[in-house]
This record gives sequence, structure tokens and C-alpha cells, in this order.
Amino acid sequence: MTILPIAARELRLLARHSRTYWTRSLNALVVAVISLGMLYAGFGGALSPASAGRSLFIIVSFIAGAYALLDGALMTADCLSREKREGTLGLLFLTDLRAHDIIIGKLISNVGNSAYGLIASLPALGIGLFLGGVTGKEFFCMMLALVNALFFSAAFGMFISAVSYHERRAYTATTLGVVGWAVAWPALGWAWSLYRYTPGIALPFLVASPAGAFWHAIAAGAWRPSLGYTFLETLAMTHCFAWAFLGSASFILPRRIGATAVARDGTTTRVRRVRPSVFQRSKRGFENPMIRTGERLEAGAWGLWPALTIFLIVWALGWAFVQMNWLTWFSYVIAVILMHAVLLLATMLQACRGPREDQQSGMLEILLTTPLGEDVYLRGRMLLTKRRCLWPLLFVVSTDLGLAAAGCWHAGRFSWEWLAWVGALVALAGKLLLDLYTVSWVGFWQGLKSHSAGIALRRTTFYVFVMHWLILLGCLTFLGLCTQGKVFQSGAGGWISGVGYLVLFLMIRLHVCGLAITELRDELRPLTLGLAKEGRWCADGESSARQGQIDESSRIPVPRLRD
Amino acid sequence: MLGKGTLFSALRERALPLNRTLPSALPSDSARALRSIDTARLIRRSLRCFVFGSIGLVPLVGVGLAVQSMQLARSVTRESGGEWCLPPFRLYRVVGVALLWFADPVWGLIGDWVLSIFLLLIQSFLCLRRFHHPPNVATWNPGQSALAWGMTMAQVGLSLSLWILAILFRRVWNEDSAL
Repeated sequence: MTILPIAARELRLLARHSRTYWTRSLNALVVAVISLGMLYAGFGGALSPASAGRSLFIIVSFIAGAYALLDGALMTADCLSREKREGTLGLLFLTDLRAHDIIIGKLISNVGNSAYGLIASLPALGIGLFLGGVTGKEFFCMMLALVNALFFSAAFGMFISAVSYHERRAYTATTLGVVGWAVAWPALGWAWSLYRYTPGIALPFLVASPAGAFWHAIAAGAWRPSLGYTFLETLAMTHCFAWAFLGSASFILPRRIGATAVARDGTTTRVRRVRPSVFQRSKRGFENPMIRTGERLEAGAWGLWPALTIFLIVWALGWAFVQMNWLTWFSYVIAVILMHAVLLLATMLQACRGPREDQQSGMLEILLTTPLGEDVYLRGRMLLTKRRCLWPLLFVVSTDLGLAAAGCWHAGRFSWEWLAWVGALVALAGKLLLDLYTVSWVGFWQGLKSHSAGIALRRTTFYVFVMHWLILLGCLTFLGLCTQGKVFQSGAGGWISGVGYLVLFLMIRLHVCGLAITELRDELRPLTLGLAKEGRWCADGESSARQGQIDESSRIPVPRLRD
Repeated sequence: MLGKGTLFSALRERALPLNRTLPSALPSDSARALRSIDTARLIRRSLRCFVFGSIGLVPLVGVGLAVQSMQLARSVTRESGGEWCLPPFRLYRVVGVALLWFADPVWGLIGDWVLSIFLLLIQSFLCLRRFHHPPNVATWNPGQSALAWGMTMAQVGLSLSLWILAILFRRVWNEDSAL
């Protein structure tokens, strides 16, 4: 008898897949390039080797922590709920398989590549160990904390997936849950410590969170009791939580395998009728059918408003309790970054999920068979995204404006600091608008191209937020190696890094937007049918080389009569 | 009954030649050559090539769109039945890099600019001459002019980007040697 048969099968499948090896090697390469680039660009000559090693260790640990938490959650958030929607989960339970077999198998198949990638990139953390400034214990603890964070977020995603039925709700709940557990709860502890004038974050805010082990490895050193808990305690606690999530998922899954969920779902998510207001009715002439359909499907959804309201309340409470200590440059920057990140994440989620939902419901196919055509669908989807984002965007920009005004008021008399605040406001607002535009197009494109919203999210994040950093750091590494680091010891290094970032930021955004627009406008139908990526489609009058390949391979042999 | 001279053999003799002359169920290459081309699609893609090319004119920032503009131009040219044959741009770029590498320390930035503009003018002239009125095109493309200009601007943007990078690298190299 095989123990955990699905897990064994998935592991064998992963081991035979070439993508596993590519992902692992690429992850290691990426982290090595990032580390070397940062060493050359940021710390060349300016810092001692020990402090450079320490800074590199902290930055790479933060990047790896964010990757572990978000990737694990997003890869597992919809794996079970998708089976429920497609009605295949019940078939699995007709066999000898038990719930825990399915849960562990799904966990391995979805998170296997992420885990391999994370483990492959861990040796790059050891550069800090060789440079000095990081002890062996800290390095070892950080590795454990990162792997545990990935396991925790994946287990949480499995639990949410076992409970939910809808893709949208599963993703939202998983993202909010993981971010809340690992970031918001410790941040609340930090605010509490500011209010109470205590030196560190209180014990209950850190010990049960993945951030606790992470913080211990970075800030306090391993097994040092200054935080009120040991590293092993927090690690064991989050690990137990993760197993509890998996156990709960195993318990819940056989009880919600589809039929009941559909019935419950039918009663809870009726398509509601939305009557346009008088102003809208008089204004609308020809209306894009996508807009009305989208409004109906998303009627009653709260969108971004709960997150923004919670943020506003927390900010107001912080100001009320902590008063002048709260109004610092650091808290302004954190607030702006958080709000922009929330808005971008919500837009990206909507852009990636929308086309998948249209495909799965069959609405897209029906729309494409009508004389309305592809342009109407494209325009309608983009218009819908814009409408959904308009008011949150205005809210975020006006909050930015308020923060900049508060900063100017804090600075007192008119001075150069005012100019810095206004400049920062304009730059950040411009960047946000550009990011939103890019994320909408690329998310839409990847949503149609990928077979799940999680993969589309991952690819969109890579194209929009990671790629330019990677190229920049790769170029800096190359330059540093060519000049043996001398270029970064003069002022030229700073200029090259700054201008290079700006150029690559604009270049990559323009490039991926162009790719998305071209492919969506020219190949929407094959993308919809899932044929474009397999090379089985040839648009009318496409390039002859491509035609030749496709025609020869897809030609059906015509039977002929024998003499 | 089924032997030679029977009713069946007569039918078979009549049927087989007919079968040989029947057209194939799938379109052959000659049939594809006579296919109808979506002119609106040609124009739309030519205009997109022009837009991408004009953004690709911005050095370094527009490199990605310049490459896409070239790909679109190739695709549209083949779609309209034309022959895709580029003037030797790569040679001009390499020659430009070599000339600028040696001319930069002697003539400085002004010399670099004069040399670059001279090379770019030659490239643009060749590109426009080749693509404005392409020979042997099966289908007339109403957006051919936009395509030619988009292509030219993309070429100029790509060459400029390469040469700027070469000059920057040269200067960093010089500074490094001085250090």
C-alpha cells in the first residue's frame, strides 16, 4: 500500500518535468544577480564589508519573505474550489482516496515549484555570511523562517480553498488573511508599542505570526530571549497553525464537495438586477454589453472600500492616540506605499480574474459569435476596469494630496522641503497611473493566456514589478564586473543606477503594454480558445513562415480511393 | 460478376478519373494565394506600426516598442504578399559603433552627433526607399506609407539606442582606466 499516493505521483511528475529544473535554476540565478547588483550598486566603497553583508542579508530576506508568503497563498487559493466548480472533486471521493490524500497531493503539486525555487535561492543569503555581519545562527534561522512561511501561507490557502466555492472570494480571502496575519497584526503591535511607549512589539502580536520568526532572525539574533519568546517557540507555533489549517481543510473538504456548495451558492449569489439611475439612462446611447453584464455580476461587491476604510480608521486612530509621534516622514511613506499597493493589487486581481470568469461562464464565446466582435469585448472589459478603479483612485490620490499638505504644514515656512513634498506627490501619482494602466492591460492579457488566475497574477507581477529590477541589477553586476567595481566608487555609479532605473522602468512598461495590446487586438479569438500558446492557430493571412509550420502539422490526411 | 467487363468495372473506370480530378477538401497552397485579405486589419496594424515606431524613436526608452514595430512591419508585409527583405541595417549599426568608438575621444560629443546624424540619414533614406513603394506586392496596403515611416523611425530609434550605449560604455571605460 502506498502512503499518500497522490503526493507520491505529483512528486514523480514534478521530478520529470523540465520546468521544475528551469524554475529552480532561474530562481537561483535571479537571486544571485540581485545580490551581486546590490553589492556593487549600493554598497560599493560606501560601506564596510560587514555592514554591506548585513544590509544585503536583510534586503534579500525581505524579498524572499514576501515571495514565500504571497506565492504560497496565491498558488493554493483556488486549487480545491476550482475542482468544486468543475464538479471533479466528487469523482475523487468515489475512489479509495481520503481527504488528507487529496489535500497533501494538491499542496505538493501547487507549491512544489515554489518550494524548490525558494530553497534554490537560499544560498544567496549566505553571501552575507561570507562578508561578515551575519552569524551562522541568523542565517540558519532565516532559512527555517522562510520555508516555514511558505508552508504556513500554502496551508492557509488550502484551508480557504476548501471552505470557498468562488474563485474571487477564495483569492481575496487568502490574500487578505495572509497579509493580515503576517503584516497587519504585527503592524498593529508596533502602533500599540508606540502608544504605550514600550521599546518592542508586544508578545501576542508576534509570537503567532510568521513575521515573529522572521523578526527574531533579523532583529534579535537566534535564541535570544530579548523579544519575550524564543525562535523555536514562534516557529513551532506557526507550524502548528499550518498543520491545523491542513487538518481543518481535510475535515471540511468531504462535507463541501460541490453539490451542496452549488445549492448554497445559488441562494447566496443571485444575479441581481441593477437599474441604472436616471442620469445614466439618459446619458447612455449604445451601451457596451460587457459593461452591463459586468455591473450585474459585480453588483453588491464592496470592492476596495473596506480595505481603504480600515486603513483610514487605523490612520485616524494612530493620529488620535500617538499624536505628534505619528506624523513622521516614515509613517507618511509607509501609508502611501500601502495604499498604492492595495489599489494596484485589487486592479491586478480584477484584470486577471475577469477574462477567466468570462471564459469559464461561456459568456466570451457567446459574445464572440455575435456580430459585435472582439473590439466591443476588449473595450468593454477595459472600461469596466476603469470604472471600478476610478473612485478608489481618486480617493488614494486625494489622500496622497492630504499627506503632502500635512508634510508641508509640518515643515512650517515655505522652503525647499515644500518642493520635495510636491515633487514626491506628483512623481508618485504619475507612477501610480502608469502602473495601473500597465497592470490593467498585462493582467487582462495574462488572464486570457494562463489557465488559472493565480498563474496570471504571478506572471503579471513578474512582468510589471520584477522584470525591470532584474535587468537593472543584471546590468549593474555586468558593469561592476567589467570595471572591477571602480565605477561605483565615483559619482558615475549613482547616476548610472538612477537613470538606468528610470529608463528600464519606462521601457519595460511600454514594451509589455505593447505586447499585450498587439496580442489582444490581433489574437483575441485564439487566446480565448487557448490555441495561441500552443501554436495551433493561424490568423487570416499571418506570416508565411508560421503558416507553413502550422499547415503541415495540422493537415488532416484525406483518404483516397485505391485503384 | 465482379470481373473485367462487368457493370462494377465499368463504374470503377468512370469513377476513378473523376476522383482524381476532384479538388482537395482542404485549401491548397494555390487556393491560399487567392485568399481574401482583411484590408481593415492591414490598415489597423500598419497604423499601430507607425505609433509604436514613433514611440520607438525615443532612444533607450522605446527599444521594446521599436522591436515590436519591426515585427509588425514584417508581419504586415508578408500578409499583403510582399517580400520581406531589409537593407543591411545591422552592418550600419556595427560600423556606427566602431566609428563612434574611435571618433569619440577625438571629436567629442559634437563629432558623435554629426556622425550619428549622417549615418541615420543614410539608413532612413534606404528604409523609406525600400518600404514606401515595395515591389511585387500582391495586395495593395492603404497603410503602406504609415508602415514605412513607422519602420524607419523604429530603425532610427534602435540605432540611436545602440550608439548611445556604446558612447556611454566608452566613457565609463575611459573613466575607469583613468582611475
